Amino acid sequence: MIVDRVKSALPIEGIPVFDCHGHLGRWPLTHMPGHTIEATIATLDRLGIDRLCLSPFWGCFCDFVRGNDALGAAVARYSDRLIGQITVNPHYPDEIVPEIERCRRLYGVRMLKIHPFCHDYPVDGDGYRPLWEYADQTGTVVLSHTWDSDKTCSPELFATIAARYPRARVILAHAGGTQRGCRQAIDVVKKHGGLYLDTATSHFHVGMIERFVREVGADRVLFGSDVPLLDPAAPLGRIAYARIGEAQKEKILGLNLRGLLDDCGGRPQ
Amino acid sequence: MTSRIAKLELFDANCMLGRIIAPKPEFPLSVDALVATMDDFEIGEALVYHASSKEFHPADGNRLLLEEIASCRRLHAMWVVMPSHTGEFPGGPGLVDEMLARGVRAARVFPHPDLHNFSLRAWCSGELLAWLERRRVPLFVDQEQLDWDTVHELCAGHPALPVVLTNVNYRVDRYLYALWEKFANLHVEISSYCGHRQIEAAVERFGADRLLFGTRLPYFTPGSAVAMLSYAAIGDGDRKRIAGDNLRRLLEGVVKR
Repeated sequence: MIVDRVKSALPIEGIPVFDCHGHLGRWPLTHMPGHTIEATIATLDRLGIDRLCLSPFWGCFCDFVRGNDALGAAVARYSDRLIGQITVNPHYPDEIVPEIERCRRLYGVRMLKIHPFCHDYPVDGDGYRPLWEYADQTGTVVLSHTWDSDKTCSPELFATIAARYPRARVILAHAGGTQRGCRQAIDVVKKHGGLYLDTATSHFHVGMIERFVREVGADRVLFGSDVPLLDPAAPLGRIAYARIGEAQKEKILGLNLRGLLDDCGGRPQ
Repeated sequence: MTSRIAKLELFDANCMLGRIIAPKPEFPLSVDALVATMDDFEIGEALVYHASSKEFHPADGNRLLLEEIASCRRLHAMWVVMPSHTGEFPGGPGLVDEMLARGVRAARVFPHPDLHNFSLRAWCSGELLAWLERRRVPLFVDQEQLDWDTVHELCAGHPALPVVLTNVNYRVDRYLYALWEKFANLHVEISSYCGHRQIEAAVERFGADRLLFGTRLPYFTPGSAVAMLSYAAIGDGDRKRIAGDNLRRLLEGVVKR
């Protein structure tokens, strides 16, 4: 049983564990004592996380080109553990598609990450249009920051994205965050295919994993941690102790994301 | 497979009991529901305050708390307190004597303007804090209830008062480390202190005596805090101190007379 491994502080074994939400580097708002890629890999080993999808923090802020280059180097170094997420900036709309193609060519990176809050730009604004058109044409998986009622990335805004770009696969990072944000995220995922909920958060609401599964189904929930900003043991514990079936936990912890990446060619062999 | 959790003798330092304004169906609000949740997560004991002490009035909530947990030895009472200038709440020595006479060995405050609406600065709460300090009654306060300058004044002005910040989020280290460098009486409850390697870094730099396991029940699942502590790359002695021994030490340090 997964929960028994957690109770004994042993790495999860025997099932694929894929983390959809990680980062490379630091974040300006806070001290990050475990921000190095070496510390991150050691934590993945300790918990039994097979693969981590990660994006560069640098690209979530001011310099996506430098961030993506650093990401490419990290993914090359740990090619058996890391799956890269290219980051772009909607304030540079003409550079979005060339940057994605550059990173695919140089680094083989397949996923995308956007942070509308840090870039202070609405996810349904014109600056993101090249990214969404690209994701729609290619079926690329996009992880987007979301937050409760935020003007740039409220979960409700993704109804428009899902309707306009139905072939894009979009992971709602943090599932909206707060209790109300989670409600918004659940509602939009229920109404639109192609949207998924991510478990990364510092808001460990009682019963929320169970509610996700009850309302949108275990197939639409993905294990995410936000490592190395946040401790991945926290979402692992939430899922392991949740009052849901073992098969549902296995889907959330890895089977869902592995299948999603296989479908869109995003998982390196 | 041996459960590491079972060996830790978990003692929850951040737990609220009773009906709240805006519940969710999953929230364990009653004594029975809370104890059942504690069993699920192998939490042996909890230090609890009453929701009515926070969301209504401490005088009523504190009385209700003692009634509701009277028959449950695993739940330990914490009273919510406030200064006595208005006469609506007992003053320093009488308050602390009554607390200790009733077996209450911990206090909590909600000074934020949206809650009990007073200042924790010396000009307003100095007498209350001095009496708690004299008897070494640990004072718990949610991080979001205070600004950091007030935390500094509180720790500096009452060096023998154990101060426990609860609901401390992962973004605080640039404030917290500066305070920890100065004050040994400042403690942090870990339910939201969830940064990657954050517990490990704090233990390495300042030792394990300043961290307390807590859950933030009924709002948060204990699964996150339990797993963070269980997997943390620290020694088992340090892990057990954080799990419950530090809180037991603080409660045993209360001076009854």
